[in-house]
Amino acid sequence: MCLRMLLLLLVAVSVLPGSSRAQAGAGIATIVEGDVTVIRESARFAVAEGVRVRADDLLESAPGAKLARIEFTDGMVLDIGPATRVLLAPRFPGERGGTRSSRLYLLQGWAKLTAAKSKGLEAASLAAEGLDLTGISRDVVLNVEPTGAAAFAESGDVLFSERSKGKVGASVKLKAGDFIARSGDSKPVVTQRPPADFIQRVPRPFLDTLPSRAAMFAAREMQPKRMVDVAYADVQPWLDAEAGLRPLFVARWKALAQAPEFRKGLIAGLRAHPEWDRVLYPEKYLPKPAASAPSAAAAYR
Amino acid sequence: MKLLLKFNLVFLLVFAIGFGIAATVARDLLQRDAREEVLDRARLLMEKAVVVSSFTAEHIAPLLETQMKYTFLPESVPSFVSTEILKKLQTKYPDYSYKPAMLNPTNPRDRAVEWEADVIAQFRTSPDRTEFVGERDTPSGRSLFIARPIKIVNPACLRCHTTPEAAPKTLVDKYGPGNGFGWTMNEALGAQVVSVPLSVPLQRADRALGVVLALLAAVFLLIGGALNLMLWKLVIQPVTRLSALSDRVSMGEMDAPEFKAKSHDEIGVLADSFTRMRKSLVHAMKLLDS
Repeated sequence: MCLRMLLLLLVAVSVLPGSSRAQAGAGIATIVEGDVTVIRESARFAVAEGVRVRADDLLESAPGAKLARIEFTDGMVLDIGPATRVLLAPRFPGERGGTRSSRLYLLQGWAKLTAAKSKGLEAASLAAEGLDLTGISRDVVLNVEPTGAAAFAESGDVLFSERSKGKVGASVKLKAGDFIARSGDSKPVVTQRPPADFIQRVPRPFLDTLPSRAAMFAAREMQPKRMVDVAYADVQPWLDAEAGLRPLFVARWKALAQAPEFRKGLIAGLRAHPEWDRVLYPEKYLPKPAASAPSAAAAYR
Repeated sequence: MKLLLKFNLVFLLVFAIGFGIAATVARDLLQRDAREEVLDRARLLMEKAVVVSSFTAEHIAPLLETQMKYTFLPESVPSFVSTEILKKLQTKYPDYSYKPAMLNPTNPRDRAVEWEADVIAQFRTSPDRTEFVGERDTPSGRSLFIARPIKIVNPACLRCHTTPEAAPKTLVDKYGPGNGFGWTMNEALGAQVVSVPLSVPLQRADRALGVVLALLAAVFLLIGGALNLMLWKLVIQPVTRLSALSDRVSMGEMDAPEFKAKSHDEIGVLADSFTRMRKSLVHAMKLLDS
């Protein structure tokens, strides 16, 4: 009886959102051309082919990097270009347990997400500052620069929606070949074809049809090589990311706030990440002592 | 008319007739061979174009599939690749050419010129015809061409050529919505045309014919000379000497030297007979005198 209960419990645990969350984030770096690192917890690791990445990993490529490809266990493929920062399986406010609406969050640079043909549309989605791309049926390329963001539905349809203050706006359906661009605070503009300058800038490896290499590394797991502990400058772009994402990093790097250099950086840039105020100056948030206590004691006397 | 003259007249007549027949037959053979060679070369080029096209369709186009979603790459089009490759060949052999001539091409450079349109019309009127071979004059000389019909037999290929709306956007971006649409299955839409120069092989054949005829004439002359020499030395000269000796003997000059034949052939036998006859004559004359 006890054994049966234990088995049932194991089965129940395996179908809980938490396990799907782990699966959603699990991927193998199958192509790494150039310097690519991952920030995991509070350390930076070098990514080589065969390294496993998981949810909450911050994947970063150097400006000179050509391509990093992550093949997920569910068949989805993520390509990142040079000077790119990606958070795998970001957790936005309101998402509980293993539920994560997006496969990745692109903070900066180039990402191409290829949905697995056999998976449902809900499986493929990605986000960037103030925008969501959902229902990706095949390939979508997203570019995020300080000046704006642009997405190209390379093949298959995709839904584009803007996100503002935690609210998701109406979706725009992009058909295969459609291009959408948003610069600054202006409204996004959809065109039938991507402009020539976008095509010029797309990382060259994104244009190649590359075969899957996941099988090569399925039985061969490479351990990422630990490089250094993260410094404030390393993660500052993430600390200053959009408001919906920042609380995630407070919980993650709270301990680093004790390090002098990190703390100094946090204080200097506090206006860009005000949620750290509570961590840096906890005394400001202590409950105020009750002002009427002495008078009450006197009354008893 | 002297024997030598008669002999040479007959010899020259035989030579002229033989030379004429040999020249005609050799010329026909060499020219036919030259045409066959040119045709083989044209077919080889055509097959090369076909192989390059199919390789492009099977191996190159799938690799460019993603890039095609950004920019249209003509390198993914089989006929473009075969044209380009054979164009490279043309830099070294300028008189050779290949063209996928189309009545309504996607790429304007493939538009059929007047004579090509006539060839395509032949394929349209005779759908079972698979090849057309012809000759035409070009600025660089006579040229032989071979043409095969271009038909769409794979429905997947029609995707780019039915309507601009159905075609890949990048293709319409590059070539516009006005060309290369409205194609239908199994219709002769154009013709692959390979042109190969004919004048050069024909000139080469003529040169070869010249050499053959010169050699033939030389052999005839050599044989004629040898026969003349042999006739002179073996027949005419001994017969002339024998004739002169006979004249002297007949004139009563019995002390004329004997004819000494060196050979044992018919002339030698004649000389022996003459010597015997002379001896008999001398003996008879002596008997008459006594």
